[in-house]
Amino acid sequence: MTFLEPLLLWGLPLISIPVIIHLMNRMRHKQKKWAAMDFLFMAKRSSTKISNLRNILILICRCLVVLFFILALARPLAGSFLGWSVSTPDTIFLVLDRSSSMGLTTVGAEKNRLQKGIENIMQAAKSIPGTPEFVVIDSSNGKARTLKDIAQLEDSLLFGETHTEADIPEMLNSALIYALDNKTGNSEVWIVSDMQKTNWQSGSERWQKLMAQYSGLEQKMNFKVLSMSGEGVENASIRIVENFRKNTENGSEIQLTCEIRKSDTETRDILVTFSVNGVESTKTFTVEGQSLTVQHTLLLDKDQNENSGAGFVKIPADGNKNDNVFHFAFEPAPELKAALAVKDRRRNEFLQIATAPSPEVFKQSSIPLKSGELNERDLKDAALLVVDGFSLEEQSKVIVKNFIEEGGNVLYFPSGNKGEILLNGITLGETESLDKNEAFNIATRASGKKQQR
Amino acid sequence: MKTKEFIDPELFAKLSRLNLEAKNLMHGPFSGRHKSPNKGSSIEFAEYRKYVPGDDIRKIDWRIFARSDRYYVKEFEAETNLRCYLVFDCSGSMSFEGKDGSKFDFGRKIAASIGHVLTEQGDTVGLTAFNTRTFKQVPPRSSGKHLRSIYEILDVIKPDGKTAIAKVLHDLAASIQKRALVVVISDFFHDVEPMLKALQHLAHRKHDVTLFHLIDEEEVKFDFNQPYSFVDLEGGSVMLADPVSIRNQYLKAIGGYLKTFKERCLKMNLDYRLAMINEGCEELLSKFLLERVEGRS
Repeated sequence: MTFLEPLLLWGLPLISIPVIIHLMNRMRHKQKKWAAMDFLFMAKRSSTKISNLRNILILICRCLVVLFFILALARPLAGSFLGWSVSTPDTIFLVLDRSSSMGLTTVGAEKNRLQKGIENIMQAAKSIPGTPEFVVIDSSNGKARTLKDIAQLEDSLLFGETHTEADIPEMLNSALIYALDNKTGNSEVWIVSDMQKTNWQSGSERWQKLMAQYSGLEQKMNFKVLSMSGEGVENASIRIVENFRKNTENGSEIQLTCEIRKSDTETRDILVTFSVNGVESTKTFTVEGQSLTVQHTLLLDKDQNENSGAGFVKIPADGNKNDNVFHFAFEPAPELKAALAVKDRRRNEFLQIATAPSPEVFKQSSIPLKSGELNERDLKDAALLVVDGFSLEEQSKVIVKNFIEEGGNVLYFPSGNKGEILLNGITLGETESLDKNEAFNIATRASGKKQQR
Repeated sequence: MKTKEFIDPELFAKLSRLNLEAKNLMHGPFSGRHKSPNKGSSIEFAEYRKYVPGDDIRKIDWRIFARSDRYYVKEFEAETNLRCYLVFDCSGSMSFEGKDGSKFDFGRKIAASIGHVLTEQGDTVGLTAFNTRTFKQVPPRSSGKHLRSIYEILDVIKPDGKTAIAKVLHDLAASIQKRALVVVISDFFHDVEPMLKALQHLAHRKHDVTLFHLIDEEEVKFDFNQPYSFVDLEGGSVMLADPVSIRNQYLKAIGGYLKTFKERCLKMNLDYRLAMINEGCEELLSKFLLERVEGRS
């Protein structure tokens, strides 16, 4: 039998505690002067055998409780019947959670969760008789691949923690597909995870499907979960939620929105290092509670012509080194070009000014189109299409649709009647009017990866 | 004078309203309030008997003579005084002390109270204190001075040693010549059969035998929940036992003993009284005296 915490087996002498307590109790008895001794002798004579037997049984039970407690703490990897039966599985699936949180070093340990988990797995694998096939499914790609040698797990490049999340149901699905395709026979699934809720997705409907599929398998499939959810050391993380570059009169600036999170709830100062093209600056933020969202602006010097570059934000090293640095890159601010298909001359002039109010400073331009018949060349490099007064032909509608799907924005002032189809899926509705001080609420509707407004 | 613990004036005052009546006929040297097997001069009619020469002619019932032309003598019950022997067990087991006090103190209180009641009503009372042998014996007398001497003895004696109750009772049965009230105060922790034989000996001699069986609540409940080293009060032997594991057997043993002993005593027409220490002396003695009075009427 293999134990994940074999050091705890040194606690086995604690089994003698109930015996010691029993003996101490016998020695610690009080004295009582007694008159009816004859009846005591009679009672003891008749009850000695039963009483002794009962005492011994109780003592054995107490010792067994302590024994099982110690064994449970030592975390045995039991086989079919407590690990004593020799039943080697044909295939062992190693489901490795390589998510970022697995890089956390637990309290009192030198290795992080993933390293410790892999070490335990290798120990367990060595103790298994026979030569089962090891199939590893790691969270970086969720695909199953065979291991020639279990020692390959020690390769930190291949099996170290990543900056991704793990999708445990998907990984188990991969194991299922592999088992079905390759008829793996008697199999075991060893899951190494820190039991993060986001990785396990316990509320996902996929679990029911997975359970049904696994229970329907012809071959025997056993599951073992190696929980690495021990208490981690103090950890903080930083990530950039949003970065935005904009041109200014003196050059340009990058606005970073950073989220700082930490595992403890105590208020403390965290020093954040900002680096852009090798130039570092620092700032200390006071984090109350477990998270703080901050905005920080990095100025790019116009003289140094920093059109593009890279940088990072960093906090001091702690329990998990993987979430202490977050990198970003930036490109020159693109010219914002608007294509205007506007029928009315006055409205065209007005919209030209509205779409490029300060062309020299902010690199903005507007190109008036001659008619409502659009072609792809007109919209090349354009970020915005304004249509006013024209009804779009079928071909133009296809072009607009493609423009939107590629990330373009369209501002459409349609003319027509109620019920007329403007674009694919968009129908002209009732004309609405507002009071002087009210504004239209323009809804945003998700469509695949892009949005249309 | 130092007040003795077993003398409870309040209790004495309550008990003095009652009398201790003999259950059996008594032989006494003086006239008293108890029935005697002899004919005497009380007002209570006993029987008619044929006149024989030598009878006092004043006792001839002339009305019967007028009707039947025969001489009959009218006889009356004799009433005599009572002689009481307080037999007090002073063996080591009587020193058992529960939360309500020791058996020995309780027994002394019973003895002192009965002595007081009897002396008050003009009867005689004596004391026999014993353990392995009778080491104090005071013959029955009725004076207050005599009662005080009994109190003095009760005050100085100490419980110690084993009990030889059977032998002591046999000796007593042999030594008391005339019918008497014998009050035995003991915990009766002794072999049952020899003890019952000795009691039967007393009953056979037509003595009115009353037993006060002193038992402490702890002895019948045995409600301990940790191991104890039980030290024998009569021999000093020690037994280590876990009361929890032997409780059922112990209760069965002592319960059986108490039941058997009581049944056998009642069968011999002895006045058996279970005296639980925790229930107190007053109720026990009041009940005892009242039942005696009711038994006579």
